[in-house]
Amino acid sequence: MPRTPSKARDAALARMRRINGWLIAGAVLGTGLLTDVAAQAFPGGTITRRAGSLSATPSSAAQTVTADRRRAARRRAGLTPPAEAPRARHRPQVVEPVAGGSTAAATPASAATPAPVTPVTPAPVAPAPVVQAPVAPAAVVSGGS
Amino acid sequence: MLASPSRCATEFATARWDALGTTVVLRVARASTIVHARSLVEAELAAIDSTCSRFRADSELERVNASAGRFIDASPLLLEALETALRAARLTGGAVDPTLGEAIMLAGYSRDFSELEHPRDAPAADRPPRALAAEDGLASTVPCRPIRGARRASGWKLIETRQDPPGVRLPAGVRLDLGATAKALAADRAAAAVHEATGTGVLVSLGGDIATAGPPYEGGWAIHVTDDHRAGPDAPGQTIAISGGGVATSSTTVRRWLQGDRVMHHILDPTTGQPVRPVWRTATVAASSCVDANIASTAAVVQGRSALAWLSELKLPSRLVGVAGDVHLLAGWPQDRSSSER
Repeated sequence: MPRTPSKARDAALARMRRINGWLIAGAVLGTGLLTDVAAQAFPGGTITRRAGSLSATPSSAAQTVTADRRRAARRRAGLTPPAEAPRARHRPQVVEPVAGGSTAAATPASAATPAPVTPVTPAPVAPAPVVQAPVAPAAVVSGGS
Repeated sequence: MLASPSRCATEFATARWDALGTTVVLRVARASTIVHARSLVEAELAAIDSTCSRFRADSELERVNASAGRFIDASPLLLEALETALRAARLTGGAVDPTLGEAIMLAGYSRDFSELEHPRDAPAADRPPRALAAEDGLASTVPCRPIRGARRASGWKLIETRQDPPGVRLPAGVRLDLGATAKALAADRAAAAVHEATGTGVLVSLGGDIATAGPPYEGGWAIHVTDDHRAGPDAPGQTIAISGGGVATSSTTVRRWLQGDRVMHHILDPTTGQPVRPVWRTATVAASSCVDANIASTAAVVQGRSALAWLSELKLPSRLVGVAGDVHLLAGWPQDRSSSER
């Protein structure tokens, strides 16, 4: 007796369901196997990075992660200009300071050599004398070294 | 406490001493903090010296240099200094290269510069090269023959760092010289430490590389820019004021010496391993930190003419002085009121 078209269709659908089931099971099993193989092949270790790379993976400890992120952010940042550009300034009246707010030791502007190492004493309790004329410290020299 | 404007102007205090083979200037806006501030700066500089000096056989840097080719533990400070140097290399396309340690030694700068300036009695074979003074002139600073072995591949891209635990591996045959950036890093760290501990505004200068932290001295921190940091504020140059950040100057007129019949200086071209052919006598840059200023000023000397466009593009206020005395002011650097360049 010939099979009706509807029975043939049902049988085909049933075969497809079985095939799908096997495919899904196979995929799950395959994924597990591959994961296991990969884990064996590439065991965990300390993450290092090369100097030329900008990508950085932080370590496991939360504190280290934060510090790493800060460092990584600094590393990514380019050279940044100052918040305010330098201003022109006349060479200030030179006053070589003495700790404690006094202006007792004034140094002429022509002092061309660095001052010797001088012990600096803590500030005295007594108020500093009031200076009448505005004075400013000698400029600090920026030059090649 | 600052009582009046006129008194404000005298509340600062300054201390000067020698460290890291150069001159330290510490200035605080509140004079009463100077003793504490100096102890903090000294501690910071001692830490940098024992970690990053290439002139100390017992420094951590020398231990790393001696272990090139394999991973070795590193202190967080060395790692920070190394990462600062590697950042400099990345941001300058390798113009500021920390792996020129071998080249600078081959060039003759193998010991603290004070030993070149004041050589002790030594057998001829061990006698250091002779340091040159400023009056020896600039004309002949271009070495004409290659330094044998100096052009070893700059391996900064191959340096590996590890955070946990901190460690580093240098490629075999590479020697680090962190001098260019470690000094600036020390200035930044010292200034931050003083401000954090005392709350005062502070300026720290290490051989002319200047870092600031906290509120500026009234009217800004006065800085005189010139060729040699050992010159006084009357030397030819320009006086400016900054309210924060850092300023650094690189110069081909200082730290020069004779190697045989050749005049050398301390800024090397990574592509040749030789001292840079001077286009700029002095390059000064202001930036958000002393490290950034130092990176840019050193790179400018290495780059030569192309530094003009590079610094302008980065919007870094800069002052470049050519070997002929021509002055170039870039990216908002103020006009020179004195214009008394030699």
